Amino acid sequence: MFQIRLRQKVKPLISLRYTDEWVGLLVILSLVAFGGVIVEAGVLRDWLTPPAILRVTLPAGGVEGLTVGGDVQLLGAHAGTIRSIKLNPSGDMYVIVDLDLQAKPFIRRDSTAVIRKQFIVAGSSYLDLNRGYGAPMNWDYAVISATPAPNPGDMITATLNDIKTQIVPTLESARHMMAELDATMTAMHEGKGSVGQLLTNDALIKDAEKTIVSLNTVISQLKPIENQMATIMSKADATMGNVKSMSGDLAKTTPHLPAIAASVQDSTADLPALLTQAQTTLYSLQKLTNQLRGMWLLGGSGQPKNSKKGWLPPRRVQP
Amino acid sequence: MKKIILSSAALMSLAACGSTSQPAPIAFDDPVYAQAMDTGESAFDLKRYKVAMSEYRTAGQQALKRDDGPAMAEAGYNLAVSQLAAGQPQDALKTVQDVSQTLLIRHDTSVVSLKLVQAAAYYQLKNYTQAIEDAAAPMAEADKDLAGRAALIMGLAGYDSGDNAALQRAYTRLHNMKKPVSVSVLADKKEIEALSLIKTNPAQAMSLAREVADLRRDEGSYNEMSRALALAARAASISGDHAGAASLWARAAQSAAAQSGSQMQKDADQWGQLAGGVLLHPLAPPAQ
Repeated sequence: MFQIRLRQKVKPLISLRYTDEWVGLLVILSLVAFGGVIVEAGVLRDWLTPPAILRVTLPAGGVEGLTVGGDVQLLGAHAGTIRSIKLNPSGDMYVIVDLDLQAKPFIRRDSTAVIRKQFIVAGSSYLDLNRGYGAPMNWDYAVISATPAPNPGDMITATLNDIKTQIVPTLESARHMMAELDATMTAMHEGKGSVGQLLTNDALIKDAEKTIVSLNTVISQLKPIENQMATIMSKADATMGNVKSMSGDLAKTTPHLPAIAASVQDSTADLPALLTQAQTTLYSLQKLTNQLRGMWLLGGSGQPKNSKKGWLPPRRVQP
Repeated sequence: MKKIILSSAALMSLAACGSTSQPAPIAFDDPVYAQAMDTGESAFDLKRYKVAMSEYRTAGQQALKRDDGPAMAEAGYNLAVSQLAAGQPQDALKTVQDVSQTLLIRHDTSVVSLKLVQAAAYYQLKNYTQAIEDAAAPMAEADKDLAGRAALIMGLAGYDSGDNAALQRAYTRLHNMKKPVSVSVLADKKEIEALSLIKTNPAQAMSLAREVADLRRDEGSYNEMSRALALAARAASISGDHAGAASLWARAAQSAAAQSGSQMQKDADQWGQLAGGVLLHPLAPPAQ
């Protein structure tokens, strides 16, 4: 343990002067380099810049398992911690979140938060922030609202309840139908109702046999009529033959029809002119008659009846 | 022989003189117009009013083609008279207005006969005030037939509306008309006289109305004859001759029922009820 410093009489190979000063200088240079690296890495900036404060209003159900120091995630990554849980005077609860600065651009006015469990149904609760795309957040008083994540257990329970409410009436109906079927079959076996009588009573079958016998009689009576029908059909066939012959004659006549139509057309083409000529002749005759009537030799006055020719007389105006 | 030849020549020259007539209006140089007007008149005389209306429309179209205002007035007047006779007073009014507008465009003087038609149309539409107002102008005309018919319309409208002043004006105009007058004007005068006397002297009014009915029958105006018979029936009823009134109502109803037109059928029903339920169509074929 104890070292005895002996005077060395051997002259060292290398003699260093001011060794302590050089070592001190090296330490100082190392510290300065370390400080420069820290400044360059921005560690100090992170330390010196305060975190963003985000208030998250909780649902009416309460904190839903959130605790102070709980995790806050954004897009699946850690984005902050819950600093405190507060209760405001109106009775609503909210938490104050220390949000990492790098998460600030993703939180906007339309961002929301969901309270989730670490393992869906179990584990510690954490706040899952959604990325917003709306207007930028006012970070002087940033508030978003949180909703609890739907509980899978509740959903499963609700689905089972739905299935139960739909299946139970069906089972009741099926039970009722089976009871009715059982009663019906029992009644049929006991000979009740028409079907039951069919099963137990042979009177109906006997009636059916009688009907078949009657039908046989009717058919035998219809046989002579069938012979008459054959005669009628042969006559109809002869008539159709005549019609066919007539159709053949008509077909032979048809080629002459265009010529006949052309003749008729030629004849009728002159009719309008003939009518016009007749009309003109009649009108001329009428004028001649009027003139003859006006002749004094034939008893006329020589003057037209009405000096205002063409005007109907006022006595024709009927009130 | 010479005498025979000379007398024959004289007779032929006289015949030639007799066959010349007054020059017709210019529009009658147009054969389409002239034929349509003549056919329309014949149809009107045979009471084929639809045919007459069609012919007068053709004549009116031809007058428009000719840009002939007087011819247009003539055809339009005849068309409106035919519409009145067919019981279409609303159409007659429209025709009169259209013709007046056409004449106004051509700066032709308005025809007073159109006013007469307008007055008659308003009377048929039971617009008695307007009928009296429109009848005033033609009643002041010198043409006796025109003035007489206008006075008849004014008198009828005055009686139906209770305007005794109009009735008296019509009576005065007809009474002061210089003789001779036509049968039609004479009947108009007697009818207005009967209307003015029906309250004060119903017996004389009935006598006058019977005379009017005879005159109307003679000139072939059967609808006006029915009206005269109804007037006689009314006068008989006022004078207390209910049996005579029923007989006259029945005659008026049967005559009206035998004529065409919705107004005449309404009158026939009304007069038949006043007659006590007379058979309106005694010669009708039996119902199948």
